[in-house]
Order: sequence, then structure tokens, then C-alpha cells
Amino acid sequence: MSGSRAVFFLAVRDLKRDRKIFGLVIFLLIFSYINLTFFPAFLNGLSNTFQDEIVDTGTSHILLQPASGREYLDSVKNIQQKIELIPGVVATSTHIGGSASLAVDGATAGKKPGPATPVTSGLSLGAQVMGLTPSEDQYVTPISQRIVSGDWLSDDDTDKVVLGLYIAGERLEDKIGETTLFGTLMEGLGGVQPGDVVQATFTNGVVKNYKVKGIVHSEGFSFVSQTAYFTTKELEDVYGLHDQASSILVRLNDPENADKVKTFIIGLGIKQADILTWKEASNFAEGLSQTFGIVNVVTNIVGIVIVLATVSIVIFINTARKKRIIGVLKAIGLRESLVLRVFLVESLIFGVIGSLGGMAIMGILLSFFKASPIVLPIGLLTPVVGPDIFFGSAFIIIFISLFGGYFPSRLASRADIIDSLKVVE
Amino acid sequence: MIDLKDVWRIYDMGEVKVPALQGIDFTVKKGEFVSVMGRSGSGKSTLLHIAGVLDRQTKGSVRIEGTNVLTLTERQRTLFRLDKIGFVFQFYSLLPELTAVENVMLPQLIIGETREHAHKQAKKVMDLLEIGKRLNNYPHQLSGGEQQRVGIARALVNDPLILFADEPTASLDTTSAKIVIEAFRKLHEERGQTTIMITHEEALGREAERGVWLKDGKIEKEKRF
Repeated sequence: MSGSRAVFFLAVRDLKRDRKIFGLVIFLLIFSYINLTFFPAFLNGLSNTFQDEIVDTGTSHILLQPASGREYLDSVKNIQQKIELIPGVVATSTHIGGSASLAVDGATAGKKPGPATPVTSGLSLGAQVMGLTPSEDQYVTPISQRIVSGDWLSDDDTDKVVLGLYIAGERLEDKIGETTLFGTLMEGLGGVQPGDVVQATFTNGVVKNYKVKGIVHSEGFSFVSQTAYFTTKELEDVYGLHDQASSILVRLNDPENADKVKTFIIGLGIKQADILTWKEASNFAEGLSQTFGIVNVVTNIVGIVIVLATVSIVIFINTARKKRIIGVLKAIGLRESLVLRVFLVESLIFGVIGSLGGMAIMGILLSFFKASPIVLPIGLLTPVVGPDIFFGSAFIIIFISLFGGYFPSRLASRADIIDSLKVVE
Repeated sequence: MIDLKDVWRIYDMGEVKVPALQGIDFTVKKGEFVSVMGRSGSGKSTLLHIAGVLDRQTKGSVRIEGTNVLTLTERQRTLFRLDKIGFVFQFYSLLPELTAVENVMLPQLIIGETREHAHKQAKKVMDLLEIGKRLNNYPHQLSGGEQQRVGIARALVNDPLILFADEPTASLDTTSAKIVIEAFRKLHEERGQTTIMITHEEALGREAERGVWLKDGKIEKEKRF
């Protein structure tokens, strides 16, 4: 195409000459690319952190809950046996949920559990309680691996409890001058330790003393640190249940097969249960992410406008400085459309290099955070970017450059030759 | 070759109309070297802009090689300049980011020639103007006279029918000015290059074949040297 050689030649030489301007624009575009991609990456990571923790400690890959109007699932052993025969299922675990008031009396510390007598002085709190069978749950959830002090439960433990760290709490007198993860001291039961005795008052009126066997804690967004764990055997006794559970958790060897396995389970005809895949059970995390996404859109729009204005101004100044040379070029036969193309090619080069630079830096950042996740109060966060955002943002950057460069370039290309030649630089 | 008949150029400055050219009749034959002289504001540059197809007359006819240039579209006028006209400007006409030879190659690249061909052509013209040893120097590394000869080389590289020079020695010292004028003479004598040179220095204007004096937008006198 006639003139294309001159266009590329002039564009590249011009950029080489104005290295400071080139560097400034590229820096802005790289910054803008990272601005466009990092927050969504952070949100994706946040969503994944939420979901992973919820899946690990709350729902597993498939969750069976009592259908509306029911409190418990019945004949759970039979259901478990049937589900475990489905290809792709690793294991199942039943959970019995409830709540209780837990109390500790300084006088009972170190004593063996005995007949419950009302705690008249000391600390108490309301907590979520959960009954599970440790031998089967270990294949479904990693809760048993979250022990930070003492030991995890055994299937036959009936007078023992494992407390979440926030229930066990801290001895405030030991923590003066310190701040905890959330910036406030977690008093809980005042720093209960394994071996101490706590008294549980269940919602059905049963009151019983338990020896604390261990303390569990999870950094993630989960209820592990806010739950008191008992064995299934113990909570069946407390609530008077037999072969019943509040939920059945199903672990799969491939989480992406959840929909397929769910279809199999539905085929078993378990009408008493609502069956949810991990995506369905944890979709609030996605909702949360979408909410943040709106903030992200606003931030990005502001960022895009700023970069658009900056690129426009830089190219405007660049073309204004070259008014006489543009006049000379037009006089010697460079068509108006070719002058426009020179500056558009420059804008395109800005966009392409800015995008490539942004993608390279973002790639490095993602690799770095993959190796060293960001530590947040809700857990470890690894920013993740899908190809849509990764390449889509590059496209936006190129578009911004071209759009930002178009109007000043058009203005420059349309300048009157005689007026341009009169300019003394 | 160039035929201007009753050419007027009136600038519209709001309520005031300023006539820069007032009924100019001007003809240049093929191979002529003509200097256009006059004081500042006499209309020299306006005449060059109109004859060089950079500007349009308000009234009258401008024919170059039989083409009525007023009828051409802006795009056609640009291509006409690219093909038939070479310009040498007064100052700062070279692109500072390009070497001397790259500046000269530019019109060749604009017409779509390859870099190799453009380089070959540029070198040929630069050799003719005795700046063949300065191919890879940037404009700031050249003297004023050399810069202006690079400008002449660029004007010649597409082998134009007519060479227009707008005060080509105005920003040069006497020695450099003489070298540049000598280059125009050489081109005229050796290549028969049709050249129209604007200058306000009569001594330099007398180096041409014929002189035309302008005053207040009109031709005051003509003289063959």
C-alpha cells in the first residue's frame, strides 16, 4: 500500500526519538492494565478462598440437607452406602448440627467431667455445635487437621469436646497491649486449654460437662473456629437421634463432576433431601464477589478515563510540537490520511507495548502470589485471572490508546499547510 | 510549464480583506531558473504557495503542465505535489529523528518505493549535491549549508518537474548561502531543472536566469540576467 512504508518508518522513528514521552505513556498504560486486571484477580482469589474454605469445612463437594419442613435426614447410613457406590465419590460424612450455651467455671478447671452442676460464676457464650464421626469425616473434611492444641476426637468419645479457638478464647490478662487478628481481643471462654472442663447446655435442656480434648482453628472464612465439635455418638445421645443427621457431605475425586454425581444422587430417589453441589452451596461467595465487582467497574471506569485523557494530552502535545514538520510532510506529499496514520500507528504501538508490558508484569505478579499467597484475616488469597480478563484488558488498553490518540492525531493531520509552515520551532 | 493568469489571493481577516496578490500574470518555461524578489509583504511567498499547489487562489487561473490545479481535490493536489513538485523550505524542514539520507528517502517511501530503492536514489542525489559523505549524520550534526542541501536533495529525490525554494538561504551565513545557490545553479545547468526561488536578497536572486520583482502583490518588473 502506497505510503505504508513511510507511515511505519516515521512512527517508529518518532517514538525512538521521544523516549521520555514513550516511556511515560507505556508506564501509564502498564499501570492501567494492572489496574484493570489486578482487582478482578484479587476478587477471583477472594471468591476462591471463600469457596475453598466453605467446601473444605462446610459443604464438601455435594451437600444433602433436610428438605423444607424436615429437621433431620433419616436412614442416613443407607443413604451413605448408596452414595458411596457412585463412581467418583471418595467418601461421605454425616454432620449433626445444633447450638448450645457453653460455660466455664474457674473452679472446674482441671477436674474430671462429673455430674453437671450449674456454673454460677465464670464465662459463658452461645455456640454452634457439630457432631461428626471422626473416622469417616477425615476423608471428607480437613477439620481434624486444623488442631492447634491437644488432640482430635475419636469415634467413641462421649465426654469430650474439641473447641474452636474463638470459643476457647484468650486469657485477657495475658494479652494486654496486644491485638488479635481482628483487632479486638477474643475473650471467649477466657483461654480454655485441653484438659479443662466446660459445661454445655443444649437447646433441648440437656446439661453436661465435657473435657476439652483439643482446640481447632482455621485462618479461613469458616465456622471452624466458632464451633464446638462432638462425636456423632454423643450428639445422638444428647438429641435422642438414631441413624439421623442434619447433613450428609459427599467428597468427590473431581469437584468438576459435582453436577454429574448430583444427577446420580437425585436418581437414587432421596426425596427427604435437598441436594446442592458445592457451587450452589457456596454461591453467596460469588454474589459477594459480584458486589465487589461493581466497585471494580467504577474504579476501572475512572482509571480508563484518566488514562484516556492522559494519552490524548500526551499525543496532543506531541503533535502540537511537530506542527511545522507536519506541514513540511504534507507539503512534500504525505497525504492527510497518512499523517493521521503515523500518529495512529504510534498510538497502536503504545497500546500493544503497554498491553504486553502489563501482561508480563501481571504474569510475574500472579506467579509471585501463587508462590506466596496474600495473608488476609479470612485466609490465604491467591489472585487469579481468567483469559477473558487477561486478554480482554489488553484489548481495552489498545483501544484506549487508539481512541485517545485519534482526536489529537486527526486535528494535527487536518492542520492547514501554510499555517503549519509559518510555525517557528 | 507554469502559467498563472490574473491570479488574485485575498485573505479574509474578518471585516478586513487583505489582497496579497493582485492580478498576477506569471509564466515559467521548462528548464528556467527564475528568482522572485521583493520586500517582506510583497506577496513572494503567497505566489510560491499558489504556484506550488499549497494554497488556492481567490481568482484567476493556475495551470501547471496544462493541469488546472484549482479543479483538483485536496488528495489530488497532495499527489500532484508528490509527483511533480519539489519544495525547499527556509528553515527547520528536516525531521530531526531521521538521518540525512533517511530525510531524503522520505518522498520515495511515500510513493511506495522500497527502502533499498529509496536509499539508492537518495544517495545518488546527495552525491550530486556533494553531501554523499554525510548520509548517516543527523540534522543537528550538519552545518546550515549542509542541512539546506539535504533539503534540496529531498526535494529532488522524486525527480520533480519543478523545484520551488522559499528563501532557501535566509537562515544561512554568506558562505553557506553561496554553496546553496551554487547547488541550484548546478542543478539548472546540469539537469535543466526548472527552479523558482524566492529571495529577498537581490544579489542571490541575480544568480538565477531571470528575475521577477513583486511589490504590493503585483509584478513590479522582470529582468533576464
